[in-house]
Amino acid sequence: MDAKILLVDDSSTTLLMEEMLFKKYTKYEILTARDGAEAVQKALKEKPSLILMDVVMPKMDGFEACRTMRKKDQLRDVPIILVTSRGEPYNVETGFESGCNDYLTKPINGRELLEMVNGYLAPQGAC
Amino acid sequence: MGTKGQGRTTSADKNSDLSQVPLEDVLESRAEEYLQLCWEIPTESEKHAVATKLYAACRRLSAAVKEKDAATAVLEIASNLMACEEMAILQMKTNSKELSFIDSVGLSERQRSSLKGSVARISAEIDRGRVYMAGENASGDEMLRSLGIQAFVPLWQNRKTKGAIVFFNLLPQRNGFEPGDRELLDLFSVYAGPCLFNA
Repeated sequence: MDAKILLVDDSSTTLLMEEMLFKKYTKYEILTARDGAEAVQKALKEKPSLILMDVVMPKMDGFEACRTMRKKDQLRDVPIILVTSRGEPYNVETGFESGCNDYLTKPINGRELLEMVNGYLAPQGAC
Repeated sequence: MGTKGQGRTTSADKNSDLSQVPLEDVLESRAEEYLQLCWEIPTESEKHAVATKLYAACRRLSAAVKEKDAATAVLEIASNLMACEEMAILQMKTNSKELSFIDSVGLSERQRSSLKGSVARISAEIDRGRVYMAGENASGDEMLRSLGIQAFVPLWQNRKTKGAIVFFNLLPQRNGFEPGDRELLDLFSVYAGPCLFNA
C-alpha cells in the first residue's frame, strides 16, 4: 500500500506547491489540513505515514499540534517534519522539543523536500 | 523562463493582453505551462525550483481572482515563496500625489512612515514602471535603497501603472535575492495589478 502524507498549512500557496510535487514525483496518497487542530483530528482518523506541518497557523500552531500528536499512542512514532518561515535557532530548538523529527525552512526547495520525505518513507511510494 | 522583459516584451505589454480572456483562465494556463516545464527539467535544476514556485503562484492568484482576495494572496505568496514578511501593496491615486495602503504585513512604524513621507518619489518610481530587486546594480535605484526597500514591483492595469508592491527585509534564512525571485517579481508585475484592480 502506498504511504499517506498529511500536509498541514494555512497557506494555499504552500499546499499547492507541496501537493504538486508529491503528486508528480511520488505515489504517496495526499491528505491536507489547514490548522493544527484539524491536523490532529485528521491524523488520528487517517493514520498517515508522515506529517509535513507548518508552524505558524491559526487555532493550534505546529508546535502544539506536534506535542499533542506525540501524546497519542497511534501517532507517537509517525515522522513529523515541521515547515516554517521562522528558521531562527530558538524556533528550531522548540520544534525538536515539541517532538518533530526534522525541520525545513521556507521558501521550500522542492528537491530538498522530496529528498527529506523520501528519506523517511522510501521505498513505500517514492518514484 | 517566464515574464521577463529584457528589451523584448515589457510587463506593460503583457499586461495589456489580459483583457481578452478571463484572468483566472490566463493564470490557470500559465500554471499549466510551468507544470509542463517542471516535467521537462530535472528536479536538481534551479529552473525546476523556480517553475514549481511560479506554478503555485499562478494557481494561487487564479483562485484569488475567483475569491476576490488578491491582496491576501499576493502577501501570502511572497511570504511563502520568497520568505519576505515586511511588505506593502500601495495604490496610487489618479493625481499621483497620494498613495493608499491596499494591504500590508510586518511593517515597522519607521518603514510605514518612510513610505508615507516619500509619496512623490514613490509615485515617480511607480511611473517608471520598472521592477527593482536589490543586488542587480541598476542605476537610479538610490531612492529605493535609501528607504530600505529591497524589491519594488509596479502594478499595471490596462497599460497604466496603478500602484506597487514594496518589499523590505527578507527573513534571516535568506542571504539576499536569487534569480528565481526575479521571476516571481516579474510575474507579480504582469498579473498582480489586474488581480487587484479588476476585481
